[in-house]
Amino acid sequence: MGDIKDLIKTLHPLERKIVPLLRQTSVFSELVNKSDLKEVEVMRALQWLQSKEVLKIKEDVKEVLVLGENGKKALTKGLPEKVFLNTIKNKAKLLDKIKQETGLSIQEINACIGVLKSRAAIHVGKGMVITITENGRKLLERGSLEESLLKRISLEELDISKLKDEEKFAFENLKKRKDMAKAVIKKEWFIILSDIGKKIVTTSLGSDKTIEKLTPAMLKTGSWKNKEFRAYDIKAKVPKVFGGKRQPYAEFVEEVRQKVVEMGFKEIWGPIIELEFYNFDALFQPQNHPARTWSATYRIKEPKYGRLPAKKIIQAVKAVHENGGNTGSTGWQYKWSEKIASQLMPRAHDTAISPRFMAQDIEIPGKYFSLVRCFRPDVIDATHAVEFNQLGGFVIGKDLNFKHLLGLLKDFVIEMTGAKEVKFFPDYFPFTEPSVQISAKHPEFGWMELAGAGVFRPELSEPLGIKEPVIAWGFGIDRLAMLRLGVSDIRDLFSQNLEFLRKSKKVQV
Amino acid sequence: MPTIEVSYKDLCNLIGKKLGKEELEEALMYVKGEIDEWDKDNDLLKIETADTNRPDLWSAEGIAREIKRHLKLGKDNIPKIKKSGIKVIVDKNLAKIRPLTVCAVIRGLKITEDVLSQMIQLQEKVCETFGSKRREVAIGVYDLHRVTSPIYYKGYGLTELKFVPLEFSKKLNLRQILAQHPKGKEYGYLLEKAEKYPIFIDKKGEVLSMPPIINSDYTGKVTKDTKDLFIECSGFNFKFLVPALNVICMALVDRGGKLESVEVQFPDKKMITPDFSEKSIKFDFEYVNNRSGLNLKNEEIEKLLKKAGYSVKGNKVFYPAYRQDIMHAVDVIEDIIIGYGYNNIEPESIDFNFQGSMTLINKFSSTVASIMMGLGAQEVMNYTLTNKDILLKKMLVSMNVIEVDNPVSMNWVVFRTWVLPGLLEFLSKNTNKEYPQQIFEIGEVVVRDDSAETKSRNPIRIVYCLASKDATFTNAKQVLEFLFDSLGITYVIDKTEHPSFIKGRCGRVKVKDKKVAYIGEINPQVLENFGIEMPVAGFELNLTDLYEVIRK
Repeated sequence: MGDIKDLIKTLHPLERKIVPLLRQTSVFSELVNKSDLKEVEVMRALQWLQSKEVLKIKEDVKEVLVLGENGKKALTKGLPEKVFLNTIKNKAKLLDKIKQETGLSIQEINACIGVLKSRAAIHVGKGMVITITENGRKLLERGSLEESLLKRISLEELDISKLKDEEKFAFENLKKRKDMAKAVIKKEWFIILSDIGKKIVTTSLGSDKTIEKLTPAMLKTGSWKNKEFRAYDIKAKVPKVFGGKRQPYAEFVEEVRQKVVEMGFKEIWGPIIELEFYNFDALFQPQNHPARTWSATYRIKEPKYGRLPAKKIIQAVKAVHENGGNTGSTGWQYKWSEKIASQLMPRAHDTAISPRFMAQDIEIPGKYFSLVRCFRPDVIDATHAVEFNQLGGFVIGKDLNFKHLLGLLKDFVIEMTGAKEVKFFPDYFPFTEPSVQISAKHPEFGWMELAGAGVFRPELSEPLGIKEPVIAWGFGIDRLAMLRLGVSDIRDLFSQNLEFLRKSKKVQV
Repeated sequence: MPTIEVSYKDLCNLIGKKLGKEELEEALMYVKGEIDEWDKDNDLLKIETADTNRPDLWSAEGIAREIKRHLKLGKDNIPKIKKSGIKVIVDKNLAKIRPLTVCAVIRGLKITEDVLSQMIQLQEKVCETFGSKRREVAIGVYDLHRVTSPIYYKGYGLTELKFVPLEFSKKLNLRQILAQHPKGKEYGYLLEKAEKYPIFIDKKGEVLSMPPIINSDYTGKVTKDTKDLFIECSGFNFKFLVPALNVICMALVDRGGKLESVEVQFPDKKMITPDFSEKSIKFDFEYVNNRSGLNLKNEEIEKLLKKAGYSVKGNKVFYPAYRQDIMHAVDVIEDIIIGYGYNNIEPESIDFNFQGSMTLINKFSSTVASIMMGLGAQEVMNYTLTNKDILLKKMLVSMNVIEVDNPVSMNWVVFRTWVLPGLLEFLSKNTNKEYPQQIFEIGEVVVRDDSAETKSRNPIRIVYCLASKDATFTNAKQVLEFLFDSLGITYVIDKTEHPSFIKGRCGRVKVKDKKVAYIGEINPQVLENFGIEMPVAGFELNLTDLYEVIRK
């Protein structure tokens, strides 16, 4: 009995109203009638009781018959054909006369004639004189199947699946006629009491002295003292709330940025719409290079040209392309065009930012980075998007050499991924020599190519006025982000699904 | 990155040693290569090589040559070139069309399946990647016995000449080839609006090819029965043509072919091709140690140079004629380090350390993002690229936008000039998700500014939207005010009209007289355009401008 008492303490006022009624009925609609509560309130109470294992709610869906407007009329006046037959029961009459006496509409009269003729209940004579037949008299005495079905519908709830054959036949006939009767879906809920349920409905609940909700007034007056609070079902489900959250990829990008800053790099920045000069020429990419065709980089419609930097730099870059200038290089041996260099294009790689800064008075030695959007007219698939983030930068210092290049890459990759093992591969980048790619054994994802680096060619640094070696590096953040965020399509980094964003877990680099 | 398909057996035969998987992987570092795929059942090995500037490595012969030398299994073949007696005469009517060619003859070649497939692959890779999709380099290889010297390289009119193009069975004129042959359709643009069309045609009037489109089916079809070859490369610049020809010839010499020269008579000069004389570049031992950080003795450097195919004389290094990528001593230094082995070098940490820093605006944006999260808003992230439909039409506005000339998808054609349309687009894709929806985005936009060196600027904006049955101007203003209060900023709102917002419910926000934001309830017509059946209120705030005025 202790269980029952504890259980009673947890009952909400709505539940307290319903529980005693369960002794009288197990049908939901009857509970609504008897309780004077709204349907939703009864349902809520029942659901709470269900979660407390007092009862089970069983849903029953059935199709039942209901009368239409004409069906109700026919119930009092009789079906039109009966009214029709009654007027000619004693005497054959002209159609016009029948119409007049019965008050039926033309459609109804026509329907009656059709029905009655098909049952040989009337005879239509010359000049539309209508006479009742022997069949007609019997029909009048016995009453029709349709009539008796209408009567049944008005008296009780008929489940369509439980109709007798002749009733089904009658219903089919009624359905053909306008607004006589129809089937509607009806839901009903039945309550099945559990063992504890059977006990609680026969137990006196006593009066409810528990406090439902603590109010400011109670606190003011102290009326809560010496009273008990209704115990909640603390396991019950609650509606979800969605808090403020960073977009997971944006957060990842920001953490990467933070980490690079912690490694002592200074962030630099360049414009989205860039001069070809910085995207290509200053990086010693010749103007006839395949990377500069329209299928590899975006062009823009308008404005076509921007302003090139100072003459001195332009001259030096022109010379290095044409014949190597003072760098000791052979150069590309072609005629360099200032016009092509001044064309504008969406930045195709983050490295475009490096020569911009190298051409300014930068601090030497120094460590610089950028993390920016880049654009390429790539074929779009799971690993290629037309817009993506790139992380890269450069380190400049007097005595830097190839060993530092390896050291930088190794330290960087270990810092970013926690990898213990790394391996270097000779690589090719058009603007660095020598060039390296590093693969690392990521603690979670195994061996992966993570970063590339190289020493900027003298043909790149020297025209910008830099004599010191410059180590350029780039780190592939999108692949790591995809693994971290558990997405297999690069486009999902920019997820358009609010549900995904709301449910996303916090990720770390 | 070129991917080269080879037969593993053939490759090992060329190297002269059967290499296991690990050995092979190590050896491939000498060619900047990695195994991409290895189908042992079909003896197909796919090697991805990183160097897009080393066409000499784009065949089994080239890869084997480099590995063989590094593993000390043999030296490079040095071709001894005899005269073939074949003459090519270049007509001046091609001067403005496709003026140059270099040619060679290979005799006594045993063409096996492997030789043939490698030759075709190399030719293709050289033309596509090194030759910019045949623009700079087109290569033709012919059965020497079906060609009679002298060979003329000359321009013809579209209907002046007919021949059977490769893989076709009937004669077509040049116009028909351009229109009907698959290669004509693919590469025809390279000859667009030319006055004449380049043709190699021999003494007997037999057509060899129409470069850079297609060979003749009769002379230009090489099979396993062919023994002697005539090879030509055509284009505009010897800088591309000479190395292309050398790369092809070197591969065939490695297969046992005997190389012979061709006399090419240009309108203004005569050349004997191919030219296989060694090339050289200035070199300094000390520079090697400076750049590499390796303290190598001169003898060690010389050994490494030899491994990589160089020789030293005085202050110069000499390298083979098939290399075209060497422009500066740094290119040689990389080859020395590759020979030494990247993984044999102890990495050295960079010892100078600085205080790192973010750009101030990114730092400010990050602060703003954390304030927005405190308000319970969900951050979203969109592309900078969008389309005019979303950016302008649905928003009922017109603006000066920067449009890309070569879009790959109609979804991404213009750069966003504001961020709000992207957020509404986001809301329109989430109408089946639970409301209220409270979202924000911080990102760059591209606005036209002719005073800037790149004719545009990229201010950073923050946009906030609340989509809810109760969303009103008040909500948006509360959020903006909380944000400004948190940043210690005072502001004023002036009444304004904007087509994207409801009239009378739209404001222009000013901080120290600088207009920094629009705020308001979104015009229901805009919502209908996006298919959003929920009121939306929000603002778009220029963080770059805001930061500038509050710093002053």
